[in-house]
This record gives sequence, structure tokens and C-alpha cells, in this order.
Amino acid sequence: MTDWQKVESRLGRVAKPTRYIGGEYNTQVKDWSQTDLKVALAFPDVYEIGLSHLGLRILYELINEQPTMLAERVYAPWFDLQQLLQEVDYPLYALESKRGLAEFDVVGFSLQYEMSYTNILTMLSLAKIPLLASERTEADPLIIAGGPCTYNPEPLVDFFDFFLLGEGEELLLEVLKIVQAWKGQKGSKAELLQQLAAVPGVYIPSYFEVEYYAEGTIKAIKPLAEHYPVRAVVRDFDKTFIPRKWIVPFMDIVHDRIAYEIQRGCTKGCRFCQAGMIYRPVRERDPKTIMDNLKKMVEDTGYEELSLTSLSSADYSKIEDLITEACGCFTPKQVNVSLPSLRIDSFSVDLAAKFQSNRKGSLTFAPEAGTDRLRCVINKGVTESDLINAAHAAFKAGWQKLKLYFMIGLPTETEADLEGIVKMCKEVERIGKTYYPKGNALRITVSISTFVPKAHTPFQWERQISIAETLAKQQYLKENLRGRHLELNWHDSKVSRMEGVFARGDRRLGKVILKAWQQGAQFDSWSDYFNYQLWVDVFQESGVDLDFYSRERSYEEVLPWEHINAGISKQFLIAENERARKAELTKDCSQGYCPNCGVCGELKVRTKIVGDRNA
Amino acid sequence: MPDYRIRFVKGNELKYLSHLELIRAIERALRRGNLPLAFSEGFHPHAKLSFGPALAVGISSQDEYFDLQLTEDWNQEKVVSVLNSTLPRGIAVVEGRKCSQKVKPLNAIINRAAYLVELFVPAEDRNLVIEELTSIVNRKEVIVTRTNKNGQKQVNIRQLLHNLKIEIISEDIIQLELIGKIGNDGNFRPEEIVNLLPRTVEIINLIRTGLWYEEQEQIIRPLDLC
Repeated sequence: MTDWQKVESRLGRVAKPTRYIGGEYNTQVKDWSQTDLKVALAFPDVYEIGLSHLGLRILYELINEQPTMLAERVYAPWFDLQQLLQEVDYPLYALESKRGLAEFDVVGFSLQYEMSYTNILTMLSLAKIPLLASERTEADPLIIAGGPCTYNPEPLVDFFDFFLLGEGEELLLEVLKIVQAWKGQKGSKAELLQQLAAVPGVYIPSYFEVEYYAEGTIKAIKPLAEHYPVRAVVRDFDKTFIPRKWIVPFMDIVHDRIAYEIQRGCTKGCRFCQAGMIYRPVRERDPKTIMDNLKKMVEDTGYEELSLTSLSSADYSKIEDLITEACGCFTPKQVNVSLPSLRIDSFSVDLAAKFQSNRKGSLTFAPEAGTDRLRCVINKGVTESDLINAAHAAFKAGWQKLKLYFMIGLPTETEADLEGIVKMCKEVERIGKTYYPKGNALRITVSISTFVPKAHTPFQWERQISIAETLAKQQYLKENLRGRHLELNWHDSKVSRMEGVFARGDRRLGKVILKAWQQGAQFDSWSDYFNYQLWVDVFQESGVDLDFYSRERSYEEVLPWEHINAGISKQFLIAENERARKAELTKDCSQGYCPNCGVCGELKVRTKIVGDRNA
Repeated sequence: MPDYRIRFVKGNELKYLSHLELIRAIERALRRGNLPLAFSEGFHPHAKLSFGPALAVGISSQDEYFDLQLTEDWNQEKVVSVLNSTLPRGIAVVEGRKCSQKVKPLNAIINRAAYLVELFVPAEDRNLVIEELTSIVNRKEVIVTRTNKNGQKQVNIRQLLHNLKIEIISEDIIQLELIGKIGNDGNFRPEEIVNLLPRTVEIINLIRTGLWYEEQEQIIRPLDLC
């Protein structure tokens, strides 16, 4: 038996072996002898989550289109496979060639959420790749990362050679071509970094030195060379690469459908929302391009469902026409059309009614906060009457299941805002009962998450509430949000707390992450496997104060991500935070008004709207 | 609307697909091929497809079947070639037949299955393993415990086993050919025989090599029943 066969013959012992075999339709197994740059695209969570992520699919296909490059995939192995790999001494492998990650030239991680950080270390370690960038040589693969967490990657700088900031479709190829040429010249790693330093979108952490004050805050982030990390942006979103050979998995994955990005960016300006800041400006795709590509993708996948995705699809200016056309084209072929999120208005409910002929599913709305005042603070320009109208429309159209998303711990929140959540949910329940007096299927599911301040948002200076405060607020809701048709879910207060620490953490957290991982921390986003006490102990042993990272910060303080240019001006973020305190709304710039966020000028990009958003 | 009976193989590379995953992979291939599938009525219309006996996770097969209904009359060669152009690597259609009459479902007719099991047996255990296998064949009763969600059950697996042939392939590899019951009269599971052997024995490969209908020593292939 070959070493791989030893692994393969034992896969029957692990749960969900389909995670680890590859071979899905539309995957590409390229010849290693015919390509000179090999890239492993890594997602630090299980297959079902990783393959649901659009970004890596785009990059996979993009790289594989290059004749001299290949890309393969790898996801975080579950505990049982980890054990099996160690038992037979086989490295963590990429699904296409079954080769260990150490054989690749580049291993690129997608960083989507903070609680996946320890899984990166598990994956590197199982692949027998040195964990610390400082310990790796030219013989090891380059370990790089992209994704939203790279807007503050400081807790991870010990482990990565460099990061890619922003939209990867164009940036990644540019970087890989440089790596490819460098590989041919057999240069040193320092020489490579020197070349990459000039590429906008690349961030090399070793080119900066951080100095701290005695009390722990940052004194200065000193550049050691000419290097200005700035976010990469796609300027012509219609011409950019679109994945067409959409991978069709064998097993059920979290988002088991075609996802087609109809636009990028959202300028609603919700002040807590990082995506709304770092993907600016709005760039809508041409509806004809969308339909042409969707037809090909449906033909080439056999998928039963497609989703018109974006941060806020109901805002797409020609959404009504697009849905009508898509339903007309695909419904007869038994392909369902869906939108990932709805706005809180009857327009959105009408849209949903168009594509969702089966009303047994649920509709989701995200009021985020309990009162009109607090929704003004966060710039979610939605009123209580909007929600009531939307609820009426939904019940009237035949839905009996609604999901409502709220956050607790938002800046300026008072008891009145919690009461507001209770009041609104009960009102929605009451309305539901008027439509369905028997109401056996009537269900209002309320999900409560804890606000976590994120880098590059107007709330990046705000304090995050403590575990005790979170629990008290959750308790209040649990006691008051009772009703026959109400169901309450909430996020683990401890997970949110750690997420917040890493979201606004600095370079000193690298050693904490390493230590926690060495002591067994893994799959921290899975509440069954998250061990808060372990983390608390490791922070204490490392002499790092947890509370330090959840505190409020002044505008003058040097933030750990201050040297990373996301395109948004600091003045804008400050102005927005000040407006928040006065509960003042800021308009959406896709309707003509410019709030001076600075992105278009800084990144030389323009908003693109295919129709009319004022309609 | 014509019915078709399709014979296919599930290769080693996809042996870990569950029955449901396999069905879905084939359904999607049918859709990719734009075959004029007949759908059931109702809120969740699904293609009119029915499969033969499920294959356990970890077993590949050279002889699997499904029945399919189309809304148009396609010749069987076209159905086979379209399917083979859209199936994922590891699943391949070997033969397809348009049924001349309404057929009984595969699960109602298939009652025998054959398996080929390649075993790693340390040389020092070989005699012991052969003795044990011979003793199984010679006994009238071999009781094993089966666990499902309703609890545990004692099953005499000897009466599910019809034939066992042993072949020594090399120093430490033994191959078994097993024929057993499948379907309504009980399901023979080759792993259960292996579980009775010393713990040093490991399955290297497990393949289903045949499915058929047998009555009074007469053997009929599923394709000949349509």
C-alpha cells in the first residue's frame, strides 16, 4: 500500500469521509509536471463551511485558468481525521492531488472570522510546516492570507509571510506572477518581499515595528521600509473574473447552491458593519451579464437552487426585473431562485413572494436594534412601522415563520432599547395571530447576537460589553420574550468576548494564540469545542489583559490597524461616530448624496448603478 | 412516458459516498445532461428515479442500478452517452435499456449480491483466519448483534450467506468472494464476516461485484427483467 492508500483505506472510520476525498464535479486536477507554481487554497474550518465560501471558489478557478499555475483546496480536518493522519504519519493534504501542503509553493488562507485562528495552526502543524514565519525558509511554502480579518491581522503576524488586503481577483494573480518569477530566479525570501512591498494590496507585517507605552497602548507603528499597505479594489466589476465551472459537492454543504454575486459593496452605512465599510463603493453588475452567466452555470452544474448574492441584494437597482427574468427562465427547469437577505419593507416581501412559491420556509429581517432611536445611532434607517408593515405583508402573503435578528450591547444602548426588542417581537407575534388565529405553524424566531466592534468601522473606538453585562441583557430578554409563538436564540457571550479581543487585538496576541493552540484550543467557533477557561488561563499566563482589548479607545490612540489603509478616511469614521452619538442618520451614497467617506478618491474607483436607486 | 433501467459502476475513488450522496450526484448529472426528466407533482417535485439496494459507505461496486422515467422517447444509447458525459469521475454508466413494459422496482426483485473482499492478513495469522472462515461456512448458525436506532438485535448471518470462496493472493493478502442475500429476505453484510476474524485483519478493498435475482438456481440479471 502507498502511504495515501493507508489513509484512504481507513477513511471509513471517520465521520463524513466525503469531506476528504475531493473529486467533486468541476474540480480540476492539474498535472504537477506541467505547472510551475502550485497554490493550496486553505479554509480554516470544515469542508461544509469552506466550500460554501464564494471567495475561494473564484480564486480556485482563476488560478487554474493560468496554464502555468495550479490551485488545490484544503479545509480544516475534523478531530477524527487529524488523529488518522497522525496515526499513519501522512501530512494534511490538498484534495486534488492528495499531496501534503508542504509540497506547494504558496498556501493561502481565507480569514473570514476570528474564531478560526487556532485552526490555521492545526492545519500548518499537520502539514509539517513550521508555524512561525521567522522559522520558515525558502524551502517552505509561503504562508499568506486574505479575507476580511486581514483588515486587522495583527494577532496573526507571527504566522504569516504577508497578507493580501481587499478584493483578490486581480491582486492575487499579480502577486502570484511575482512569486513565480522569483521562484525561477531562486532568490531569497527577503528579495521577494522587497518586490511585493511595492504592490498595492500587499501587507508585509515584518516591514513595521510596533512600539508600546508602558500601560499597553501603542506608541508608534514604525515602517522599516517604503511600504504602504492599501486595500485592493476591482474597478470594473463587470469585466472581472466570474467563476463558471462552479464546483458541485457530493455532500450537503452549508450554502448548497449556485451563488452569483450581482453587486459588490453596500453603502447603507450601518455603523457597526465592517463589510459595509471595506467593500465600498457599490458596483452593480450588468443584468445581462448576470443572466448569461447564470444560464451557463445552471446548465453546467445541475444545481437545484441559485442565489443572487450581495451584501444587500434588494438594493440592486434592477432587482425586480432580474428576479422576474430569473424565475421565468429557471423555475420551469425546477431551479429555485433565492436572495440571501431582505430589506425590512413590503417591497422585499413582494420580491420574496415572486421567487418563493412555497411559503413553508421563513423570511428573515434584521432590525438590529429595538428602538427607532438606537436604529438611528447605528444608521440602520428602519423604523418600527417599517417592520410592522413588512410583517403584515409577510403574513398576508402566506408566511408563518419569521426570523428577526437583533444585537445587544450597541453603543448608547439603554434598558428602553431592550424593552423595544421585546415590544417589537411581541407586536409581530400579535400581528401574526390576527392572520393565523389557530396559528399552529406561526413562529417568530428571535436571534440575539452581541455587538463586537470591528476595525475600520465608525464604532471601532467603542467599548464592547462584558460577559456579565451580556448575560444580564440576555437574561432580561429570556424572561420577557416569552410567548407561545416566540423562540429565542442567543450567541455564546464568551465566544463574542474572545471574538472582540482578536478583532481589535495587536501583535502581542500571537503568542497567546500559539499557547492556547498548544494547550488544545481548536474549532473555537464551535461552541461545543470552545473552551473559555483555557483562553482565560493562557491570557493570564502570558501576562496579557483581556479587558484591555474590549475597552473604549480615544480618537488619539494609535490603533493596531492604523497603518492599514482600507480607503476610508479617519475623519469620516470619526464624524460618523459623532453622528451616532447624536442619533443622526447618514444617507446612502448610492442615491447621489456623498458623505465623504473618501473611498472613491483614495482608491480611484467609482460607484456603478445600472438603473435608478431612487425609484 | 418511457422507463429506462441503467446499470452503472461506482469506482474506488467515490466509495465513500453515502447512498444519498450518490443519488444526488446522479440526479445532478441527469440535470446537467438536460435529459427530459419526468417529475413528481407537488410542492417539492423530484425526478422520477429509483435506485437498487443501497451500497454501504466504503464499498465500491461494479454492478449498480437505477430506473428512470423520461417524458420523451430517447433511444437507450443516447441516454447512456449523455449520462457518461455529465457524470463525475468515478461513476460510469455501463449499459442502459429502455423497458418494454412496466417493470417491478429494483428493490422488489434483487435478492442476491456478490462481494469481493481484499484482506490484509499478517502471515502468522493466515492459518487461523482460514480456519475461522471454514468454521463459519460449516456452522448452521453464526449470530451477530446488529444495532440500529430501535436498539439491538441478534441475527443469524450464516443463513444470509450463500457462498464463500477463499483465495490467497500473496504473503499477507487474502481475497474472499462472498455471495449473500439482499432485499426483503435480509441483508448480508460482508463486513460482519470480517469482524469475526482476528483484529489484525484489515479490509484493504471491498467491492460489490454483482446484483441479481435468483430463484431455484436460476439467475436473472436486472437488465433482463425490463
